[in-house]
Amino acid sequence: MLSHPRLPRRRFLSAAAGTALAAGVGRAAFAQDYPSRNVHITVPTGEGGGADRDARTFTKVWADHMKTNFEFDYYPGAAGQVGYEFYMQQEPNAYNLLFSNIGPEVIMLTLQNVGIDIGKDLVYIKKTSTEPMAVWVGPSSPFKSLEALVDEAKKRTVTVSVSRLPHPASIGMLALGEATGATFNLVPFGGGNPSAMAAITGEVDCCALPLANPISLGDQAIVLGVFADRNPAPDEANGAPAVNDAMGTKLPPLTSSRAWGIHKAAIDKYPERIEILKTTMQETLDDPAYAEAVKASGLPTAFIDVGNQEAAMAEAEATRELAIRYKDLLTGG
Amino acid sequence: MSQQGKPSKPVLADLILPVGAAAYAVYYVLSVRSFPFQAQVSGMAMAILVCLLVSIFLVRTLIGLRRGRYRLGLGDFLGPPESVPNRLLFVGFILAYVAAVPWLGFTLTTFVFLCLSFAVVGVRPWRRVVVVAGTAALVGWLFFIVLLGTRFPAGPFERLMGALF
Amino acid sequence: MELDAATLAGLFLHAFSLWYVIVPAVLIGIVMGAIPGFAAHNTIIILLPLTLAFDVETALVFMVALYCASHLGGGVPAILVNIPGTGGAAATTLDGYPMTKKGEAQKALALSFVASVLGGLISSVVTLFALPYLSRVGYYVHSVEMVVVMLFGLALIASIAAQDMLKGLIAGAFGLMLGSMGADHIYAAPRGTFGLLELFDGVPLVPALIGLFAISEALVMLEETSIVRAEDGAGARPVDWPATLRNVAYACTKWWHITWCSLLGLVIGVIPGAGASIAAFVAYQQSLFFSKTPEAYGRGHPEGVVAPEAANNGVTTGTLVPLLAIGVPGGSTAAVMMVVLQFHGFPFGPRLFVEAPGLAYGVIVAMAVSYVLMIPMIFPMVRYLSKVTVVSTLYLAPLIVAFTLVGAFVPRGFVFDIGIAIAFGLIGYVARKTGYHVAAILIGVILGPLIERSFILAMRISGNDPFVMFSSAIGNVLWVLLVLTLVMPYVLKRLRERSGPPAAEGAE
Repeated sequence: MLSHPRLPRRRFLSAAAGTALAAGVGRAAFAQDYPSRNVHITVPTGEGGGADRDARTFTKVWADHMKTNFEFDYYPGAAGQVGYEFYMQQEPNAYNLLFSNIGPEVIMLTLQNVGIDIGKDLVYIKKTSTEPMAVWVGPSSPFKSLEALVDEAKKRTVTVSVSRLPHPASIGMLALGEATGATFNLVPFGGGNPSAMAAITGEVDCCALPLANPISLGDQAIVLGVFADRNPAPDEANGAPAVNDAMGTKLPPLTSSRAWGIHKAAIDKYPERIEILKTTMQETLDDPAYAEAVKASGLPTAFIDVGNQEAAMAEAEATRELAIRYKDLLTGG
Repeated sequence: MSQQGKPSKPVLADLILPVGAAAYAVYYVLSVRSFPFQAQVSGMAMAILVCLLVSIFLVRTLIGLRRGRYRLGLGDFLGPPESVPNRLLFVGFILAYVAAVPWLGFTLTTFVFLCLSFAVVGVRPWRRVVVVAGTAALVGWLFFIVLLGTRFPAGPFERLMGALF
Repeated sequence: MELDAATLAGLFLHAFSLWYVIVPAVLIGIVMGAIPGFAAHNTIIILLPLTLAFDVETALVFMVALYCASHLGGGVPAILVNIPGTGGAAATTLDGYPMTKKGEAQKALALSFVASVLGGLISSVVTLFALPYLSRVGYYVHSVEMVVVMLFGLALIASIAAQDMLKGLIAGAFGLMLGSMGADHIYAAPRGTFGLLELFDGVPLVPALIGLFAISEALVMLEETSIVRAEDGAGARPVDWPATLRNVAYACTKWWHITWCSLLGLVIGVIPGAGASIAAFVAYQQSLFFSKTPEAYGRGHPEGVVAPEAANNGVTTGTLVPLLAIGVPGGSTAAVMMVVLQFHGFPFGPRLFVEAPGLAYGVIVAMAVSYVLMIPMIFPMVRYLSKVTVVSTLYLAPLIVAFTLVGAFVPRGFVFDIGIAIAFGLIGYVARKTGYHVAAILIGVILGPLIERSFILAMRISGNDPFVMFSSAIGNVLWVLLVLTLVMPYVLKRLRERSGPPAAEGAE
């Protein structure tokens, strides 16, 4: 796999030098110098999670358009609240960005009374991808269809591993239970990876997560249903039906979009920097290399969903309304 | 535990940790009183355990005091008395380190901290104090900030270096 | 891909041909492992821009070698200055530092390195052949069983607190209380955090470890002029090559202890969410339980160094198993490796074995080779590192404080965490000076949140039925073993007292 031993050695040195330069703290005063140093990205979930994967996939291509490097910080605490609060404390200078997952995070902000107002304090400026929530089981599960799972959940309480309670996937399962008379016991494992592990090893009956998660697990996961009008990636998600089609329910579509968030103060203070950010983000999304990178990370390109600030903010508002609607189901003691 | 026949043992310092633990346990219970059961259960159990153990300890101490096995006093808690002021100063420098590092940055804070600490614990001559502290601060800067890119707060030194290179 | 002799030989030869990646990675890993706060997972994240620039194989080999070496490095400061470089080395301080105080730093280092290298080598070779079976462990060990496994680690509190049981238990309970701090696992409600956002995630482990061990040690250190007790000072012992060889040879005689402790570490490492610290605590506890001389532990007993070091290096291959066999990382280091695989467009889990078997087995082989390449490094390290202990505490204490405070800052990048380290430093000082064991507090801080998580998950899955704790066959077997572990030492002691000659029992 290695073509020539000298290559990595040289790269080692150049990358080390790059890191050294990156640490330089000279500050540029002029907008045309932007970006004059590394852009710092806050991820409000853990390393190795879906957000990490998607942020890295994006920045891999974005680096060519932005002409800068990116640094990542992960704050997975309290369902993302920690990450949001720390992001808000950072300097609003357009060098600090938040890579957000609108669905779960807006629900968290709504339910946990964090005091961060989307629109007034923080703005989502570009939507990069959207994926629906999915319910799936491990390869050795006895449930082969959503109907079978729901039937069982009418007889006994079926356990569902979820990332956390304030999450569109959790809303989906609770709403499904409400609509069909089935009982689902949501067990928050605190992240996509541990939730998936619990379903695969049979600790719980099924798992509800964004669709990218079971897709990236290949034949370790069998998708039973998708909380959307249709399955956007039938080939990758073993042709699973839409939940509403399979069960005759009328649940709202439960999706989540990745989006870049930034301080409102930075938008007001550095409009020209925000323009550069938006333009280069759009160039990245239009770049065929980005679709390639998404495919390489194991995800269907159908998830790429370009949206401008208005679209991203509209989704945030819709999610907020959804969270208020299902508030009682998610915060019960 | 059986101290009979020996001179009484000073136990005042031994009470610091249990009393602190019990105080935190009480605060913890107060902080979770309005939360759902699953959020309370483990912490409450721990708080009860802490309070139970500390109560037993207090009873043991009281009995010891009554029987003259223990006495109130700090004993060797602060170490050799002749160096207490210097070591307290050292603790003061450690606290000052946290206060100073956001302003002075890693390198300068480390240098000043090391200089003062070496001086106060008794390293001499002064030249050696400055040389060792300076070398350590520079090596730390090279290793942690230049090489590893640790995002330590930047101070005048880091900014100067950033501007030069 | 069939694992026949030719394929294996090819994999090993290929891994050896990457020596120029492994050797620097090992050196970086040892140094970073030895600096508290920079354990493998942080270092790998810091170096991610570099590793992502490599091709995928170089990147993986680099990370794997660094990861293994960091576990070896973690034991160095634990032995020499009573400061564990990583949580996994916390148990090493229990006997490693007493050996140093007795002037046996060299011997302790030899034991630690040999245990690490042999333990890591054995477990990686076992993983290579037993991967399909090991991957099944995750299917049987769920939240309930995890609770019991971690209780084995907690049982160590009772063992190390033997001198004054009540004080030991108070220290452990205090640690558990502190470990209950932070947002709860179900509702994310912040508990006991004084309203500080920085504590929402619970007590940050690295600053707590640095405070309890390093800062408090520096404060205590200043009360004396040299680490080594004057009466058996290191200067009296010749630090030459023959002595080094003798020490390494002596360490090798503990091969059986190393083997079973590393296999114990391997099995614990395979369980998602468990890790080096749990493995090290459990191994130390079991080593003590099976020992004929349990009273020697905590005073500089060689097995007390061997057990945790072999176990925490056994964990290294174990943590890769869920990622390789199922496709879900079991720990944070494996999660970062997953990022690299994803970045390069490689799948993980069973598909990696289908699509790139050379890479999948290659990772495990690279681990084994990393350990082999560490062997020659043992000797100079044993010989020269012990000299740290003769440095005057006047220099050592301020330097330790300055550089471990950096370590407290690094994992999360908060100046606040330096404050946490200092707060725990003062707690640690009080604990040391008044006979409460800092290790007991740390065990509580480390294991508390992990046990709580597993306990709450098990309870929630069962619909809040406490009897779920006794609902699985494996769990029940573990419960019985746990009770035996706790009760047997007393029974044996009584028997010994009654019958005179010591009862021979155990796997020594």
